[in-house]
Amino acid sequence: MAETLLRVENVTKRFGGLVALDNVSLEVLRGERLGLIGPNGAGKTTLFNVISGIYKPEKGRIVFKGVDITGWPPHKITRLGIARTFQIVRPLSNLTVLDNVVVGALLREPDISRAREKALEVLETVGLYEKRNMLAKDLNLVEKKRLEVARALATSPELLLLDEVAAGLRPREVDELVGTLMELSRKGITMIMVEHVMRAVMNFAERIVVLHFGRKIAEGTPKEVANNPQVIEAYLGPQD
Amino acid sequence: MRELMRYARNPVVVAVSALLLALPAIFSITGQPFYANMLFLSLMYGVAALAWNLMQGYTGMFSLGHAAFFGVGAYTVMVAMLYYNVSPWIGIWLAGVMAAAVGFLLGFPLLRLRSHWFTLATIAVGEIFKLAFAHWGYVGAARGLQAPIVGPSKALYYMQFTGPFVYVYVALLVLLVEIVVLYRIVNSRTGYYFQTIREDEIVAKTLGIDTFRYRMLSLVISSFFTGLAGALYAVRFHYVDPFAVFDLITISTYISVAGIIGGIYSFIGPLVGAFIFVPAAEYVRVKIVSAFPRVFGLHVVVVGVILLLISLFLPEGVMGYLKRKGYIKTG
Amino acid sequence: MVAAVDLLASTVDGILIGSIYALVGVGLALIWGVMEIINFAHGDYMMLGALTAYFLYLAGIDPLVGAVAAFVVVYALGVLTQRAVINRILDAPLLTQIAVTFAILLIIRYGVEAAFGPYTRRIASWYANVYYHVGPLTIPLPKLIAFIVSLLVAAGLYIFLFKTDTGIALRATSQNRVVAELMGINVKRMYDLAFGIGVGIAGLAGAILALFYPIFPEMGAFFALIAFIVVVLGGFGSVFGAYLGGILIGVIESVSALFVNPALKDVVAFIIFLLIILVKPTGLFGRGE
Ligand SMILES: Nc1ncnc2c1ncn2[C@@H]1O[C@H](COP(=O)(O)OP(=O)(O)O)[C@@H](O)[C@H]1O
Ligand SMILES: [Mg+2]
Repeated sequence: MAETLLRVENVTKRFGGLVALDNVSLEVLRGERLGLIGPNGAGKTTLFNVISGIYKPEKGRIVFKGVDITGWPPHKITRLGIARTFQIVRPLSNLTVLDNVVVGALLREPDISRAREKALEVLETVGLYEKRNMLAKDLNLVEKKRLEVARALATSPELLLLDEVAAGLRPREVDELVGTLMELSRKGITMIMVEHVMRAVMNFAERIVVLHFGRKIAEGTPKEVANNPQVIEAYLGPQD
Repeated sequence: MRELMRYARNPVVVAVSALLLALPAIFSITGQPFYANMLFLSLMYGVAALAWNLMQGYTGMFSLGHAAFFGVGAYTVMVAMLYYNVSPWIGIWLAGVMAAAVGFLLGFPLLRLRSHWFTLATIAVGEIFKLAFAHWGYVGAARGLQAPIVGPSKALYYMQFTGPFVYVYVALLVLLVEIVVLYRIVNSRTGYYFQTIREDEIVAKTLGIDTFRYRMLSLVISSFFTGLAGALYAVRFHYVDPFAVFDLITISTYISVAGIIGGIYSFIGPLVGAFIFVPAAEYVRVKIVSAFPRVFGLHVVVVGVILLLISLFLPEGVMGYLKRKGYIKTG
Repeated sequence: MVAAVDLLASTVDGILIGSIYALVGVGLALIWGVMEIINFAHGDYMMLGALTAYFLYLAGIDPLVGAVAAFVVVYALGVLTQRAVINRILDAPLLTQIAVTFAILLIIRYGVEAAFGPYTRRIASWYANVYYHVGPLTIPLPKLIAFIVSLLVAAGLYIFLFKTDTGIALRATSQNRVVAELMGINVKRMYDLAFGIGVGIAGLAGAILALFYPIFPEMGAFFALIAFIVVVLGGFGSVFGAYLGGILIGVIESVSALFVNPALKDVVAFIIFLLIILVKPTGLFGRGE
């Protein structure tokens, strides 16, 4: 039995009157690939924001590696081993692609030239090596999404939170990306993938959690979830 | 030491230091104190503008209150000399430390603010310092402080030399120390972290950067060197008063205009900017205003026009422009 | 101990002077609300208004008529500034935006100083020395006039913003520029209006202030500071919040003068300003994802 890496316990997050997360609990095992799906506005990004420390939940706890990290500032959470990407990409626009990734690598490797070597490796992994000397703002959207992944990877995370990194990719590119992520998974990085592109999440995840209006409505293998009537209803509306 | 050798190979550093070392000699030969003084002022503002740009260009914090640090530095030299008999040779460095301490304390409230709120608050801080010093008896209130006039035997101890030339060398010394230290910082992890914060503070946090700590570090280093610039002022003019050293226009604004003209995304840009802007402003002030003594404030209008035109048509500054056009590669 | 009468007198005086602060603040809030530009030169447009009224007064025109003219003149200058300069920096980085409006400040303030000298000027209207005695209070007529004009302007602005098509379009633009554009609103014209009216109101405030306050080139500095405080206090971009904020600051300032050396009045204002921007979360870091 693998150890539990992350435990989200009864987390509630409100924005004014809106309950974005309603008593959500889930667990991720070390080395696992978890898919997190749900219609737009279900609260997936909010959950990532809570886990990574950008928002504090009103209720509930986040436990990572047995440490209660609820309410920790984001930089400490990252240092403990959680990295994330942003659904709405946030490149460091006026830095080069390489320097974007170097900044991530500097977390564990304060020496610039060694951080640069590590960054180059990561860029190779995500297929941005050729673009390393461009300014990040000059990349196209697909490349910016990859840069998000590269920057997060460079911090050597144990848990990687991927927020819709496959959006906008062509099917072949989706498969390539899933291949890359699978390889990282084999190296031992635990991942939670928020995704609308079913081709990505169904091929990638070992287990899937479904959120709907801030609540967890289903959990299981990709197959189980795909056949769950509640999930079908959430995505397609009531079916009579 | 090896790293120092590397700076010594950096073309920017070499070119600038060579040029600067040569200039005062040239001017002393031509014997024109007006130009030597202009050179001193350019160096003094250059020291402050480089420091200011650590915050603006590298960390993304726009201060229009650097007069607070400049003024504290200037007063520190005078107070140390007058009340504790400390030689300005030491007082200059004390000035940096004192300004850094002030920056550190101010950081706790100021760093809670961002974007234009930060800028507005820095203006308020500069003005509060001016008004507070103008009412503070210990530092001579509105009259300010005047260095004692000493005989030739003590001139070296009190740093009192005739003419501007020796002060030019003192300013060069301070500038050199600053360039070495800042260059080292901006090319280290700290420099990368500053720039990350400038680009996107949220991303910085998720990359493990303690943004408060690094913004504070940027502020403290910046205020240290701005304090040194203020100390140069006190040493050179033997006199400080609150309305001169805490001035929103001739200190805070001049410093940032120099930075903007030279180019905030360039290491050496603010120094270049100071060497363009300060002589221009000085020229206008001395030549035009004295030719039309009843036309007050005209030189500030010129500053305004320069600032407006640069902001509209050359927002990347001179060095940024040269880089974009490919005339220079680094710097 | 401060006597109750003094407290009352200070409060009333604070409300009267605060009504001027309110107008200056309202103009700044309008510009911020519609254009998301902080006008650092705001106080200097106010000074231009005061100066306009002064020169008209020299030409024998009553300062109250001069105040209307001040609005028109400063409005025109505002539209000119907007078209020539502000338009170019709407999407520019913060540094450029601040640097540009700050440059305008330098040009106006010291341009006036260069052109007309650093002197202090006063308007001596026929009502300058008329006082009303209400119970224990003494109210100078000029301040009362200022207060009434301020209320009228606020009412006029309210009608304009809420009851006219143009005003509604202006508010729509402040809500969402893109949507406003889709609705067929000419956004550039709205910016002309917002900047023109914003500084125009400041100019008018300057003119009525000049009924009882000296006019000098750097007078805008203090009022710009007050306007910033007022805007923060009133909730960002809220025009009528700014109005109430102005009155409040007038009262705070006037009452605090009972306790603090008046020579330190500016220090007090700056410290209040710092405290407010530190405490009030608006304008603080609010971005998340
Ligand atoms: N910062 C915020 N302020 C207010 N509401 C928010 C904020 N962030 C998210 N929400 C709301 O919370 C709900 C969940 O949003 P989000 O987590 O982004 O959904 P998802 O990522 O699943 O599409 C949505 O209704 C969204 O509008
Ligand atoms: Mg989302």
